[in-house]
Amino acid sequence: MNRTWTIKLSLVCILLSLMLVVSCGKKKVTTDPNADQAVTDTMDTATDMVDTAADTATEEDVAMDASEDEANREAAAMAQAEDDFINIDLYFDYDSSVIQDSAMGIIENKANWLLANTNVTVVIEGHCDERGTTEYNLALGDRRAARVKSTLMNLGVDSARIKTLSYGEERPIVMGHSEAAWSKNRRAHFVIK
Amino acid sequence: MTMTLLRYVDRIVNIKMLGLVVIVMMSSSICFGDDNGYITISNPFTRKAPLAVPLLMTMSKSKVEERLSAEACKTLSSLLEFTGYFKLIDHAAFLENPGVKGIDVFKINFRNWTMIGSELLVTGSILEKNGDVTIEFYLYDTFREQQLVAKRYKGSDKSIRDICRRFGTEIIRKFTGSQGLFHSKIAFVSSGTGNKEIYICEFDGENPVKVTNTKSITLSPAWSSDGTQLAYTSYEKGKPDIFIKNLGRGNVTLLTAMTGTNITPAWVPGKHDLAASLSFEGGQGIYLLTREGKIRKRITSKWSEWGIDVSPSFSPDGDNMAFVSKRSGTPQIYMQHMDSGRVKRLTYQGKYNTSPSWSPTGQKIAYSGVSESKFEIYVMDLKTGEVEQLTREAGDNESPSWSPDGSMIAFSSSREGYTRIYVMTSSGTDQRRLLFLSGEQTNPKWSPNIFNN
Amino acid sequence: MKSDSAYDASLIERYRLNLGVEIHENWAFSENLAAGQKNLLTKVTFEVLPNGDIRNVRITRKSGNDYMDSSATMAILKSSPVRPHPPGLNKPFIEVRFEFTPKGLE
Repeated sequence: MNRTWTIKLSLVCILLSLMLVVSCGKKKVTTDPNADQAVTDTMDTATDMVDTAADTATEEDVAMDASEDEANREAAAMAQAEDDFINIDLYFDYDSSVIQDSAMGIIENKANWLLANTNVTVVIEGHCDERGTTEYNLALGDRRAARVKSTLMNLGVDSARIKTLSYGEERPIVMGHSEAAWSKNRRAHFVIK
Repeated sequence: MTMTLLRYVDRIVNIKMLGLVVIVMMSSSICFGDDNGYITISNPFTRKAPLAVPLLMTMSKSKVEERLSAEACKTLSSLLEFTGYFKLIDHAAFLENPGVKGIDVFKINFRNWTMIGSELLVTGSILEKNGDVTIEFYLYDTFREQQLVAKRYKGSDKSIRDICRRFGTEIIRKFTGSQGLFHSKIAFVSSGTGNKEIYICEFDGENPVKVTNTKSITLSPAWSSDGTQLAYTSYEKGKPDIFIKNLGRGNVTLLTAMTGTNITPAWVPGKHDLAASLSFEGGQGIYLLTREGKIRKRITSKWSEWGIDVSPSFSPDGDNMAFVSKRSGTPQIYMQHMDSGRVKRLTYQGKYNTSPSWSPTGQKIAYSGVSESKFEIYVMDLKTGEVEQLTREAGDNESPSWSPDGSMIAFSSSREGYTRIYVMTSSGTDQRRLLFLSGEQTNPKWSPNIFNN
Repeated sequence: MKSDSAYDASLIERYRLNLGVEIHENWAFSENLAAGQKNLLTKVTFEVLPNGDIRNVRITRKSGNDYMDSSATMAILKSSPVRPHPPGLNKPFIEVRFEFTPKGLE
């Protein structure tokens, strides 16, 4: 959370300073020996310039808004990416630790996020549904987490940043005795340390 | 109440089944034994030996002795009934009262007992003085009119249950030659505090006591061969590690906290080494560790980075180890010879077989397997390969554990809704709930007989 | 006469077989209580008087398990008195020998 705000603030500051530089650059003052004509010319030019300045000012406003939006969007995107990293789980088939093809996209996102946030270490939790033996499920959860870690390492993430932890069937996220509940519990879940 | 009903239903089923057996087997149960002119009679009815335990004779006729006599009578009756060997005869059917008439072989009119169907009779006397008791117990064969066991015990008036356990053991030893199970305990996991902790109760469910306080997830209790230490898995350090509690001294030491998942400890019989399933080297494999947690060797070979081998259970001589492995694709029960390393697959029926428990009397393995989407308890005879299904009730029946004399099996069952600890005889009869605590109870592990507790 | 004793012999054999059925019905035995020992064998001999009273029950081969032996004698004692001798037979008693084994027969 702190990180996001720092990013946002720095972006805003950068934008503000950019704005100042831009506005300074656009103002001009001229001196003319043909005073009257020059004055009129100047006046006209001044008027022109005022008009131009006004136009430029509007464009600057729009540009400022655009950049601010851009910054906000980027910040929002980064927050979303972190949210997704934490909240989107990987799911498994019954009695299996195999990473489904459909899950590869999610794992790639996780890998990308980790590669973009290199000072982060994570714990991958392995979970099972309530069916089956307590002990066997502890081992199955461990294999699920281990497989996800291995895939991340293949995608370039340093193994020292990833720890695994199995909870077997001990910490279900959905209570219930149906496949709907069970399928949600057979999961690998990421926790940022 | 439920117990009586269950047993009544059991008996009806038994009688019906036996009736069928009689009709079918009648002709083949009697045959001409031409050798020596003996006719062979086989296939007896399986039933409990009817036993009578009348009140003890009170030597001083005091109120205290009367109270203690009633306690001893009730306790001994419960212990003997618990084993499933005996059917206790109702006091209302008694034709004489040895407590008044006399407790020795000369005073007893054995016809009064055979007439009401009692084949065995326990009589006794109790003398109480200054808080100490002297109890004498006698066991008689009513048909042969013979004394089978005679014992005298001394102790405090608080030791009635202990005296009954000792005499009960004498009775069991007389018939089976084994030490019985009256001095054993059962460890199990209960979630009543909001966390899973380990509890221990006596073999019949009496006096449950909480023995861990990890305030995290605690699982898989395992008794050392002398019953003094309990190994278990706990998340108290943030991940599944194995700890050992010395039950006498109360201190807890860490066995192993290797990277990964450290689970299912099992003591090597008669030794202080343990087997456990660890995942620090990739793949969940079974290793042999010293009591200090040093790894002696990897027992099960590494057959895959994603492999699972868990839940070791040793044969009573320690030569072989049963375990669960996913090496053929689904969890099945295997057996490995410790010296040669040879592995043999044991279960071929069903897609999910786990929780092996090797009988302490040798050649049987109880386990839990999925049949029609729910868990049942099975027993495999290793000599014949035959598999018998012991449970059929609603709910999941898991985690079987043998009593030290191999006569009973404890297991967990969700047949009542919440998961509870149940016991049954090794042939699957007399299934009933052992105890009732808040939360759910799972993972029972039956201890050896512990004689100096 | 030979034909007479041959006739008697078959009567007696049939009588013994029927006795076996009667006594089998009274034989109850808990395998658990014999610690699952499967190969137990108890041999018992006894005499039946003409009115069916049983006497002189004795174990001629012990199984090694007290409970098993006791259950065999119990089965016989509980059955007394059994059916009387077949009519026409003129013997003071019939000697019967049974061997009890918990094993099933194929």
